[in-house]
Amino acid sequence: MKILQPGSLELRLALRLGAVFLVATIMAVGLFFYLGDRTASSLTRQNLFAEADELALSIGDDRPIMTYHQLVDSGVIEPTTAYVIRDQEGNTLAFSDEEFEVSVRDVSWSRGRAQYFTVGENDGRAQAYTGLATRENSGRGLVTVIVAEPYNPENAILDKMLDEFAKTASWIIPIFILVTLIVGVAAIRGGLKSLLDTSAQVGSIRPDSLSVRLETTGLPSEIAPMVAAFNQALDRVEEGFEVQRRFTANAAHELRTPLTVISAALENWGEQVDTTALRRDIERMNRLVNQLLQVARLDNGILDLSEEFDLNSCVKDVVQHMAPLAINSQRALAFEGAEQPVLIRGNKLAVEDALRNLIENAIIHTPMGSEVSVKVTEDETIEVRDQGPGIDAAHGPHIFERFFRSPTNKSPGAGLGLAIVSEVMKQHAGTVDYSNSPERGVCFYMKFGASS
Amino acid sequence: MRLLIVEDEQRIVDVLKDGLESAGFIVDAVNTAAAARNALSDIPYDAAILDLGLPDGDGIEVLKSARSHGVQIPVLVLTARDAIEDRVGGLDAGADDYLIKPFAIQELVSRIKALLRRPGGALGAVLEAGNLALDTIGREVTISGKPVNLSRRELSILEILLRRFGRVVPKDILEEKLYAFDQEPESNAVSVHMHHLRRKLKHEAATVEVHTVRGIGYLLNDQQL
Repeated sequence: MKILQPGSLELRLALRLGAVFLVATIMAVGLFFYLGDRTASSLTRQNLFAEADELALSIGDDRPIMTYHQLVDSGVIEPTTAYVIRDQEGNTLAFSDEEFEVSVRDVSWSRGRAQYFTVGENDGRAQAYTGLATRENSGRGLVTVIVAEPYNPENAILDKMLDEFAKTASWIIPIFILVTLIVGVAAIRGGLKSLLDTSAQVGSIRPDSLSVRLETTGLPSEIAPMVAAFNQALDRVEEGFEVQRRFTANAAHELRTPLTVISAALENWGEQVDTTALRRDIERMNRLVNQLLQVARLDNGILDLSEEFDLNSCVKDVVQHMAPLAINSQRALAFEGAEQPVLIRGNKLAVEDALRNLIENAIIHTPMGSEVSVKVTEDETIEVRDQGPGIDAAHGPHIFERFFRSPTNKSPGAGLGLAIVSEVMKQHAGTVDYSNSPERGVCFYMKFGASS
Repeated sequence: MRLLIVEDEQRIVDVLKDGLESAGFIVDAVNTAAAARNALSDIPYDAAILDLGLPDGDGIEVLKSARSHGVQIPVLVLTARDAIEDRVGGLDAGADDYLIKPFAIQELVSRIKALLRRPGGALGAVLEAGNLALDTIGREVTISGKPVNLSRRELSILEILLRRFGRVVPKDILEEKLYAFDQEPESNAVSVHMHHLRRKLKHEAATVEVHTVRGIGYLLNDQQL
């Protein structure tokens, strides 16, 4: 069984349930003892109290204290009752018989309340008593009255049973409460299971799995309306995402078609006009369109990261496809792979996009005739190293911001490339970082294993 | 040499036609999947250029049904970069090559020519680039019409590079094609042959040049382009 989480509904219910059980048990036990006490020896004890009262009242300030026989005759006490009366100094004022007086010499009124006692039960005396020591007001001031009845084994057994029960209960009750709590928690857990299932379903919803709807059957009627409302909210969210996704796809198509037409038309002009500058503009526009679409895709948050692929071969493919671009602009592109395949889980298309942006930047910034090298290492990192001027430390904190362009950067670009790289890496729970090399150039690192 | 263009965007059809016709091809164009199916089954084209997004259906389906009806001609697929699944799916469905929009017409023309020059393709056996020509049957190379003496392996390397002109050819592919299974190539055999080939091309003033993509392979291009 899972440990109860702090702050969980389960724990709260369990705590309250525990409190309820505790209070209920205490009340039940208290009531039991109270009633048991009353029914067990209370009859005797009430009598004893009454007799103690009467005895105290029978003592006047001037007249002599009545003898045992006088008291019996006047109905103050039962013939079987034994008693001792002491004054505040502890001097005995009266008693029923000497033997009793001796046997209760150690018994006294104390600690502010009446004391029950039993004497002579086991010490072989002729008569055993069970009695009461109390303090009463009398004509001669406060006196201690000790009254007792001959020991009644029936009452005593009941008393002993109560005692035993109390001892047993003292360790049974905590166990009982514990077992009840465990059963209670299990019951709560069972009752909450449908709720937990629902929250697990909610947890699995991602922007790329918006078609998920929560199960409404088997839910408590208090929660079902909330879940239904949530499902309706999901409908609306999915619709919104769908509209945006469609827009992205349409925009891709719509923007690329005219670009294709323009660039093809330029080519067909052939040698009649110098189209180099125009072609460079189209190249730039094409890059911008691609970057805007990448940004739009990332903003939709629809990256599916479930694909497992080899970083080595993915990077190799990108380098292979970009090498002609580098060579056409008189730069070299090199690849250095890891010894073993580097398997990672993520979105291959997005990683390719990100890497393409880094390589495009490197090709732009590395001087003509120099080399851009791309390396994959076993710790799931891609390095892109150029031999350009490096990155000004003052701009370091901003280079991954969208639309940031260094004021000294004269090369074309919208400042989207590094923002895309950063966002792709963020979604992969990885990082992108750079370091200026001591000699020349800058090296960018796309680290996928950053979380481990 | 008759080509079929399946593309619904009329402006793209126009520029494709312009480019391909000036390269000497006869070009038909259709703009729906249904028309494409009919055209492919009725006319023995030499190659087809297929856009995947068509108003009445998916280009992939056209390709699959053509292949299942025994149409064996080379097919080049046009696609947008973000539709990576299209790209992979296209090659699975039987496309021979693909180009990402926007593409250069020259690139398209040279890809089509390369497809037609494949063994069994409709185009002649002479591969050309710049002032260089390689006769794949006569096993002869000329630069500006002058024969060049190349070893058997240098010529094979040059042929592979020419067939994939302007694109990177991975070194392991060169090794695979140059050496039989039982021949273990020396680790630097390809680079040694490449070195000789480069020297000879330069010596004979070829306009094409072999570039190294360190860690991957080689690329042949024409610096005058």
